[in-house]
Amino acid sequence: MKESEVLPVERRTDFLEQVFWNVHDIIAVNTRLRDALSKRQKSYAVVEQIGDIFLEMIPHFSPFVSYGAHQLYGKYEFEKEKSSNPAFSAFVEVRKES
Amino acid sequence: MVYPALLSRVAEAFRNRVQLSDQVKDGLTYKDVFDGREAVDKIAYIIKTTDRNLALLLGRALDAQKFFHAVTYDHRLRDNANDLYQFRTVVASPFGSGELEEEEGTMGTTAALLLNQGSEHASTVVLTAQSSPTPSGESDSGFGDLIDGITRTPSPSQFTQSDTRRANANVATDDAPLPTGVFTLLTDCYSPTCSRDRLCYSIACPRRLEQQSRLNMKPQPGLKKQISKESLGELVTAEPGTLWIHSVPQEIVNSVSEKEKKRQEAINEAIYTERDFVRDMEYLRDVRILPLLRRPPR
Repeated sequence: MKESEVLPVERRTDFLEQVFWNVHDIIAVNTRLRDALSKRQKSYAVVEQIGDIFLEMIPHFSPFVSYGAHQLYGKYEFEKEKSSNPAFSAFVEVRKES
Repeated sequence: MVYPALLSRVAEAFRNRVQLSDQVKDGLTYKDVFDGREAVDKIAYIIKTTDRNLALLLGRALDAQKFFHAVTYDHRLRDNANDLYQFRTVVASPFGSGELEEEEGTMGTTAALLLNQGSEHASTVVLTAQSSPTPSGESDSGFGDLIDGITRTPSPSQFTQSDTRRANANVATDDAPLPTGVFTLLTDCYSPTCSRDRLCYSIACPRRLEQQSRLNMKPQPGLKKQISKESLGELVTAEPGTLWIHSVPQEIVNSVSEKEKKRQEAINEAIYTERDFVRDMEYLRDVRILPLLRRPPR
């Protein structure tokens, strides 16, 4: 089945925004955190501390607040699409199996 | 001060300094000769070195061009007072002397190229010089020939032509032309920032060993590998949940307390959990979101 036909082009962007909201910001901030932690781990066999890294990164965690606040709306849009769009429903289920 | 890399300059200085006398060897008297030890003394003085082997090598580069030869014609320069040498003399030629000058002019271009690449060559030679056995003076093969091969090429015309002409004008007409060539072991570095007292950035620099000993640095063989700590590739793709005690050498594990081991495992878990989280999010983005955004094929 062709994924590009799962969602009508005109609704695609809006739908994805409603469901996934600011997930790209979440990825970005966590990638920074991950890299800082990994760098610390690579530099020291015995890591003295990681708290300083969290203290530095947590002020940038506001995307989580926004994401959490919007999560229910996303879930609603997702369920609505699944029940009204068989192609989308199949896309979700196929992905689950694979 | 004589630039020691230019054979013509060294040869000229050598001819001016060396004392010629009549000496007896094997019952025969040779006129206007010098001995091997004195030759090495003089060359060492001219190139300002205390390294007699280096001076001997340079001397062999000179004799390789027939600047002088053993009175018995059967061996190369040796650092030995019992061996006698004399300068080559040119037998007056009925065809005049124009031939030699012409030859030098045509060879200048090749030599200029050699000078440009001098530093690179020098590195090879330095390495060889360090690792080769001391030239004993007993044999004409091996190291001596290697040095000859490098140095026998004529040096660039800007140095040698005027040089040679001046030399020719000053000395008696029966003297042979001076040897020409670049002794790459003694060339300066191409880098303008390279000086006597600062380590050159280039590991191929011919001065580097000298600089290292002056700066009391330990000579390091070649380049050292520095394990990169910036790259995250290996960690990002590492198996999730690897224990800290399995990721560090046993000595380190043994060196910390039980409490510290637990703390390290906790820190390790926090870090790999974050890695797993980012990996999951990237999966969500690449496998769930992006396919839905792709344009339908036309």
